Amino acid sequence: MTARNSDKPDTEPLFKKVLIANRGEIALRVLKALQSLSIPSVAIYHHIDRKSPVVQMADEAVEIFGGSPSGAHLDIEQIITICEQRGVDAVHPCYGFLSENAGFARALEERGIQFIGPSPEVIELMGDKITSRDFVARQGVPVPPSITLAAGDPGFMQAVTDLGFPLVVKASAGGGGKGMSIVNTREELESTLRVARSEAEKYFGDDRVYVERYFPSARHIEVQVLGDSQQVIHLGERECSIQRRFQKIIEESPSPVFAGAAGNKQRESICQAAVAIARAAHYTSAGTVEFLYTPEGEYFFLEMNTRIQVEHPVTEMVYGVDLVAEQIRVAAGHSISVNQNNLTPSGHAIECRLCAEDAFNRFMPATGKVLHLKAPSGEGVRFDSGLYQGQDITTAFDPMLAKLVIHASSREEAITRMIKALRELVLLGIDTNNEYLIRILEHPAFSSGEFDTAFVERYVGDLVASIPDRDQLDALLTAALLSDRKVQILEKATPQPYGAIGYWRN
Amino acid sequence: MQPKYRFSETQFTVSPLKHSATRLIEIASDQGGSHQVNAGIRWLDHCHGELTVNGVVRHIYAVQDDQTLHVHMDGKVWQVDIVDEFSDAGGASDQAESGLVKAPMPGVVLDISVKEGDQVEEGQLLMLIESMKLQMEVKASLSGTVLLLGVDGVGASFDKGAQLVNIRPHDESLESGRKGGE
Repeated sequence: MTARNSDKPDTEPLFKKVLIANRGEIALRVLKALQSLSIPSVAIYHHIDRKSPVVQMADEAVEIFGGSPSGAHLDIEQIITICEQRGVDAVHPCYGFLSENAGFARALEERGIQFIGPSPEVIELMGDKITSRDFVARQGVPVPPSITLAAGDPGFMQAVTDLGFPLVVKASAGGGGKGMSIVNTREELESTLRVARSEAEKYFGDDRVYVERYFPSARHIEVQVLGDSQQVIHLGERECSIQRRFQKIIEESPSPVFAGAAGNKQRESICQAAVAIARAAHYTSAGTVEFLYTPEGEYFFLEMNTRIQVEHPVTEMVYGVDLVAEQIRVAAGHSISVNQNNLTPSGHAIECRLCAEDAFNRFMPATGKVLHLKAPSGEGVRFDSGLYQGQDITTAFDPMLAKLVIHASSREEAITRMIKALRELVLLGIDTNNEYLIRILEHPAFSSGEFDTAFVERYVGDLVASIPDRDQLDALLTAALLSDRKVQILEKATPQPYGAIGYWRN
Repeated sequence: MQPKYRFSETQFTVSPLKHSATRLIEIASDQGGSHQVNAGIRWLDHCHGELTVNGVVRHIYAVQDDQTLHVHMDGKVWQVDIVDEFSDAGGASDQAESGLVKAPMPGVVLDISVKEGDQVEEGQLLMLIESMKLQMEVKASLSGTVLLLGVDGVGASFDKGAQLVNIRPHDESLESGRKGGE
């Protein structure tokens, strides 16, 4: 993947050595950016990931230890020690793990190591959902109505009644779709607050929650921003309304909701709002401002993510910009290599997140092994994955296995090519949501572009597995018989004349 | 040989009848009925083959993992279980003990709210489990006494289908497996 606007390589690499503080597909993707910039790399890995591609391909690889694989990736001291031992001068945190941990950014700063991302102050500002809301509201950008009182406060229940149902309980330190629960009635509120607090404490180490008005029928539109010390630009919006359990499963750029001249004005407005927020925060590096977009065309600020996001490839493919390379440039004190006026988006890109789950059975997480993998390929096809042959898929990490991204000249073509690519993708040994994704893409409500975050629930009756017809069943059972090792062995052992006769019937 | 396979809760007997240039294969279902197909396969590598059934050609990918065959065909993945004729064909697990709570997915125990001997009500919270960052409440499917906790304690991990809790129903007549003579 080449950035159309890439500069000639500098005579000196931007950093002496960069440590990738993550794993899986994103660690590999960041490695590719480092390689394109000729920067030496260090991968860190927990024992269970020792055979993963990023570990095999990085210039250096160091094992990390911890009570659990996730725990190892959250061990700030261990990671910084490795940086110092290896002469690392910058760290790319990717997404998740320590990417939005201001303490990590600060600790690196104190040891003279560059954190590839915004400043600790900005991470803190945007990391707290309550302070970021207040900051954004002060910039004149709309935010959803909410309750700022603590649950124990005497005025709380009255405030809840005034706000009206449905509500959403959100963890103040949460984000990325985690730490959110919907409440439809007063009766549910108490137990939901309890579970929400416990989850918030467990996942974010901070049990503060707040309550916001919930918009059951809205779109999730987010804007990609990029900043350096001089300017902040935007790279358009991404449509992320296709979600299950508040987690995105299909994303695209541009959003079909901004069609036509009126749509263009709305797009401009929401993108400028995102730039205004980032500018006011003196934002540097890549970031995303997430909005709620109502059927009436109103938008409200939801949160700002101060990191590279999972779905960044759709923006990269439409704008021809390598966002991770830009992050590295900015972190090294250079300016971003594009300007707002020389950005030329083209075509349409869609991303599908392939997840280890039984999507037709309430998305139950699945475990298994990568027995065979054959990635789809071709023009406009991008498959970001850290999968490898023989890999055990366990409950240790997030169920997302890989991202399939398609770029085409129109949305219609992108959908057609995505369905084709999903059908061509072979991943045997673990249940995935592959067929489920195809059902969504085939659905008229998706192709019309008229959908919102309730899509998955609304059409649950349509998003079902196909039932084999008689011919398919025959083919499947025949394939089973002819692939069955025991049968193959028995047939080889059977002398030919008897093989031709088959078994004796009574 | 009469190999048996299970797909989508139906058991099939798939028997090779003739093996020459193409094969004749008989497929019989436990729902009744059987028919025959002409088939052949040309393996392109260890798991990629060109399958022909009654003249229709398909590309398939197939891998065997213990007793399960994973097949990619017609743009999707299918799983067929090999039925071992000499073990209990089983079928759908009979939750004859209706007070038995099995893990719907592999995971870890976060919290246990009951102990053996406790009286519980239908719908009562028994434990909190987690898998892939998804928390789930495990509730009693009926009222009764907690007979057994199938996990060692908080922090214990378990597989899909593992027995988490067994509850003896209050109503003795609901107990199964006590048909006369046992």
